[in-house]
Amino acid sequence: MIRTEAKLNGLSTPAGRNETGLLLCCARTAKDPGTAGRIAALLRADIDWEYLLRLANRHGMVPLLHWHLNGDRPEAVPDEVLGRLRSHFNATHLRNLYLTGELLKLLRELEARGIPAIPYKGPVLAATAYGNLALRQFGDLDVLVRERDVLEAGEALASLGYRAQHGLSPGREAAFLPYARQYLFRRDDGSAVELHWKITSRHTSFPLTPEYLLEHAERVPLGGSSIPAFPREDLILTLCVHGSLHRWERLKWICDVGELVRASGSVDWDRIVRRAGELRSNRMLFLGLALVNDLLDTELPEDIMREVRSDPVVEELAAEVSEQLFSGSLADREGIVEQLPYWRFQFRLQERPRDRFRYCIHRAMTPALPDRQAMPLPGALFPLYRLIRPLRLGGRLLRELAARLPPVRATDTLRKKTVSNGEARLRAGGSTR
Amino acid sequence: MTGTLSLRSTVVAGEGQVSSDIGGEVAILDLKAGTYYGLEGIGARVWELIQQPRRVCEIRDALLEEYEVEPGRCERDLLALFRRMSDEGLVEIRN
Repeated sequence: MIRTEAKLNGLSTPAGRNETGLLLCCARTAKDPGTAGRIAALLRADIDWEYLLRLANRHGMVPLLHWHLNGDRPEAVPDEVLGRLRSHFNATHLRNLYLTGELLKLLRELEARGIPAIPYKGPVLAATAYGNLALRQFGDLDVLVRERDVLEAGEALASLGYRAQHGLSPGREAAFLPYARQYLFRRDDGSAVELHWKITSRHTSFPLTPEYLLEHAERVPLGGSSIPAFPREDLILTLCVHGSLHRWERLKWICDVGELVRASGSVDWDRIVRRAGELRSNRMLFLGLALVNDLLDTELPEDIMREVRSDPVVEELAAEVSEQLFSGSLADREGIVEQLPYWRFQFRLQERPRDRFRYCIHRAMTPALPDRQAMPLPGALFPLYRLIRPLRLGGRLLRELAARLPPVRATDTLRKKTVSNGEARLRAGGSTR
Repeated sequence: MTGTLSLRSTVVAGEGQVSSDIGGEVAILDLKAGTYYGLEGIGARVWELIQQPRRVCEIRDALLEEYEVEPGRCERDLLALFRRMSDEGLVEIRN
């Protein structure tokens, strides 16, 4: 706990700035007197408001930053900054209500077609973990269905005006299902739906299936009715897996886990750890719990924290996340070279040697949409992508590495020739002597 | 269904809406019409109370305990608010 206090006081936060300390203090819906005191102290210190707004926006934290600053100490915030926070907050709030309405319409449409579906993240998480639709920023809706229902669910989305963004023809869309885990749909009004049929990609060992989740779904109230939701224990696990696979690069994901743990009250932690063992995700669970405890001071049972701290890899990965969290902008991961640190991070999250091996094989061979877009093949030839992908990855890596080499300039070539000629003269002179 | 409104009626927030409280203000989106509504002050508190079915007289009594308001006016304003909300399809009234 000493470590946590030291981080939260703004002096030794991951990036060591008052702004990051303030953002961490605001990354919760309810604050204790100690956190309120730290916020007050930080607001008396020097704050770079532009930097804070950029940081809050990047980390999906504007609603909570506004909530705490406007609620407790609006006089400590410049009017112009408060106005921008308020505008963002109001826009997010109304958009969240709108998207919640869209989610309810989509669930009704799927139900009418007899397609079992279960939403997660987005409005459901805002309502159940944050207790308020206004306080969590989300840009799209996530709905999980069984793989065999994906195409019909896509038709349901089309009937509501959404268009698939994968660019696949109907035959290829079906053929690509085993290799992908989600398709993105967009509508002209800016609404977006991610239709999932797997929680993680094939290279990650996390065998939580839509069939299991649909069978064990809880019902939660939303918009005057009740909708299906992940069982609480599986939701905590899923959020920890999701955040871990994205290297926890947004504070919002850490905050999601903190809020869910806080809202879950008497959740059965032994059952969660047991489920994590069954789903081979102990390390990802423990990493998420280490982060909420370190950065957000989220209280967890002592015996659970002992288990969390017993894995040195978790400690190392948590330290890496804390160091990276507020440094620079979100990484450009278009290039393979930029992706390598993420792949290394994901590799270390796998606990068993066979899961690490499986991770490498699937990472190298399981095709992604860019592979198909680079070389469209008919559905019957899709297995060939398993050969094409490693070749493409290898080719791209070589090109990227070549592009990083310093260019050879004409003067360099000339100098080499001169030296070469000089050497020749010396050799010639030597031979004369 | 919407019935005749009286102090003995039970009122509950309707199904076809989503709402959120943003610190003393409530925004409500009517899903059918796509219309946003706003409630402030006592109105926001009333909305919070009717997230569970409650009798109008119970709500009136709760407001009289929390706010300095003359009972007759509280009753009149409350009934007027519920009539308006019922017309807009935001609440369900049961007798």
